[in-house]
Amino acid sequence: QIDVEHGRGAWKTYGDVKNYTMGKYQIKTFNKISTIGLGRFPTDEYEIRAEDAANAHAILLRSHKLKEEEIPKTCRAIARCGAGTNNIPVDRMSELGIPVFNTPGANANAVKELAICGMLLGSRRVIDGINHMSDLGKQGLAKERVEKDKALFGGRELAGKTLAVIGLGHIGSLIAHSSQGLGMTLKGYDPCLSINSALRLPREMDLTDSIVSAVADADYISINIPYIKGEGGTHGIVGKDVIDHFKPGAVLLNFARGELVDSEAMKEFLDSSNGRYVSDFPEDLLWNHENCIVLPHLGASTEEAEDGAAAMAAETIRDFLETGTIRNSVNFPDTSLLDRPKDSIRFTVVNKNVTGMLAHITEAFAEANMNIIQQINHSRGPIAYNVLDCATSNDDVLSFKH
Amino acid sequence: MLSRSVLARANINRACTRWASAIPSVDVDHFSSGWNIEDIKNYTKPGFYNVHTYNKISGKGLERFPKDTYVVEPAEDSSQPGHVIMLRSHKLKEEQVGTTTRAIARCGAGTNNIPVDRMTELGIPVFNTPGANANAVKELVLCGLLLGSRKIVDGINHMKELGAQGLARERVEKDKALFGGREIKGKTLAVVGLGHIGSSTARDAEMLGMNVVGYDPGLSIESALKLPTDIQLADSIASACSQADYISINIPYIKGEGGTHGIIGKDIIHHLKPDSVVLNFARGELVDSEAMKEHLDGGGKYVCDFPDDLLWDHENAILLPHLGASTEEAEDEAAAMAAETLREYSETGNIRNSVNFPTTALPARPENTLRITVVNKNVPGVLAKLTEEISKYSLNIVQQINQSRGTIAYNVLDLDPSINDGSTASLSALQKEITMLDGVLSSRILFGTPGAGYARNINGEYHV
Repeated sequence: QIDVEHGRGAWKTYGDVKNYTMGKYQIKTFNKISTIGLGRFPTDEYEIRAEDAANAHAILLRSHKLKEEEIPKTCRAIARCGAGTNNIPVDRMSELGIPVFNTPGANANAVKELAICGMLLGSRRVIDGINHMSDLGKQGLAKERVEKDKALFGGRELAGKTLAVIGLGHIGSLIAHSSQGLGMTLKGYDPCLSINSALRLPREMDLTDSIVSAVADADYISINIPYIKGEGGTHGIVGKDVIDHFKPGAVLLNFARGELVDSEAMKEFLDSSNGRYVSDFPEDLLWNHENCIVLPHLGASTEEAEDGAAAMAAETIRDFLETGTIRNSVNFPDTSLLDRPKDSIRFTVVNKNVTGMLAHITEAFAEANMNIIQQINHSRGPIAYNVLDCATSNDDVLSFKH
Repeated sequence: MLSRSVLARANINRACTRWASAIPSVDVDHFSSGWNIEDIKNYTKPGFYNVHTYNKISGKGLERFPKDTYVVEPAEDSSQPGHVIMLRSHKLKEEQVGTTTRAIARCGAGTNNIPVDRMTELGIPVFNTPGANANAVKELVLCGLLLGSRKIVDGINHMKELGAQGLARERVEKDKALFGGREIKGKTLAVVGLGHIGSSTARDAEMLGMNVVGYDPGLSIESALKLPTDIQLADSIASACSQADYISINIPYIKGEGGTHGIIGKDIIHHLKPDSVVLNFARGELVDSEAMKEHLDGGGKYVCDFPDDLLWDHENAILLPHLGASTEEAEDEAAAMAAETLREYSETGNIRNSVNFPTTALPARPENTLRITVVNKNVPGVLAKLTEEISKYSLNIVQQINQSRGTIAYNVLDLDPSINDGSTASLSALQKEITMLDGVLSSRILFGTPGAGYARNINGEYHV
């Protein structure tokens, strides 16, 4: 087994393989990461630091807003414990050739449970009622007034109502399943439905060909799509044209991203009927509206999701650092080369996706008299990624220059 | 819970579903010539059943009363004597139950707001609507389950405070750590009481990925069929709750000795896991607040839709208003069910969904017969005297049923009024004789004018 030290400090030119002793990978964390998740890094090979990690090989974070200056030059991977990567400058990372990973599905059950709670909170005035009981309690009037006042907080049931789910990935499909279990009729919309996602959906779901046709007959609407900035993105996608098609009294659930909903348009809707907006993102315009319920961003705030996401992120980083495998990346192509054969050295190369690079790379190996046993090349957008396993003979001096 | 034959009840429910669309309106012309009833004309004046309501009853439910035979009014607005009473959670006082009242129906499951025992003494059946509210309560229990898992209420209120200070965006990610918690998936839920609400809660909990353990000493076959397949049944409340992360109480509140007051008390609470969440959407009195306070002080949670004088302010208690049945659907369903029950009792004398009277169903009244009902104290000899009295009037009994429950007995008889021996009978005389028999409380003649024909024996005095 040949182990090559992944050095600290400045880049080195590798010399004689026999001189290098094994060191540890360094992982820098932002935010409090679950110790169960961090436990996935074997302590004899990894050290984890929240501070003083100037030579970190990889970064692990939750919702910390990552700035470019916080990323050491040694960093070769960034993993987000969560689904959305809006807090990471992903495009810049692609320019620098640094893969950004996320943990799709790790938080799904946590978000689903909160969304179901949101649906129920939007059906009877539960929160207003609880706060009212608290006020009555202070006045010693709770028992006296409870039966009379409860009429102010009643509402309706979910059973028999229609739920439209916009976005049918991990979270959307779980919400669909649970809602169906509660007796709801389902409609769904997802223009990019993959086979894997489709297999996860309940069979009795009516798929529509637009957001508007999904929401038109819905009593409840759940938006579960990623937030993508810029042109052709999803900013304000639930805007006037969509909201104009809501049934009066409809309940909109947004446990995806605040920016997906146009607050002005939502305000008009909430003013005009007994509809509701339930979200776990802050709302500058609607936070105080009687028909709006704003939770803290708790979608993934469960022990289980934190453990699951951290564990998934840790495994993803380990795979990347130890084998060069890429999965769950938001900017790099999925890449997996078979196990590295004995007595071979694995190289990975990240390059801009321009013509001729693969030829240049393999030529460099040929000039270095290194035989490529197996290799894989994948590209995605502006980035291309290569994994190559090269044969070694015992006394070779390796040099690699580009 | 008093036991009764589940299958009989299921049969009656099926029959009653057919009835619901085919209840014969009392037809003043349903006699044909051949009846030798001398005062028959007294029974053929037009009239209405007067339904008195307390609380706001769903209009959809009240529509079940045909307008040509029923007048529905709030009790306080009505100048007519009430024949039947319909109510929700109004605390009914005896003075509000007049001599003309022959039935009381509660739109809901619990009847703690009605003096049921006293009504039994007076021979007045009290009806409820088991299952009508079940889905509404279950959905609120699920909401409670989730509210008890992350600090959602505190979080929402915190966001409001931040909003008022303009700090929401700045602080949301940092502060959210104060309000996180756990998921229900993979956790264990104990359901105490497996009737309509408990069994439905158990099914949904399993659907959401929970392990479910249940306890119900009176589990009926009907309820068992509704339980989730993987439910474990425990042999005591304590053993059900000791393994549980969440506990839902779904049993009736029964006062007095051997009842369920404070059934979730010290001895049960000591068996609970320290961080477990207790959900009480059944009745506040089922839980001993002092004992619960200890549980909450130790990190447990209590979510309830009844007021609690001791715990309302505790950081680990979440008290909702009594919203369990406060949905349009439940209000419509309960009112409709109560209306149908009252119609059936008024028009056919059959009884179902009563909390004090025995379930009773005589098959459809044959043509050319006269139906009467008799309520009596459940003492020996009354039935014999009753049938003897009827035979004195030369009226043949075509079919009859007698059922008893506790201290009360109930009879429905279909009589053939075509007397062949040359004599005639006076219905009013017959009714008086029957009603004044020792042990009889009241009688009704289900013929002719809606609402009329009700006679009572109140402490030896005849009222009609």
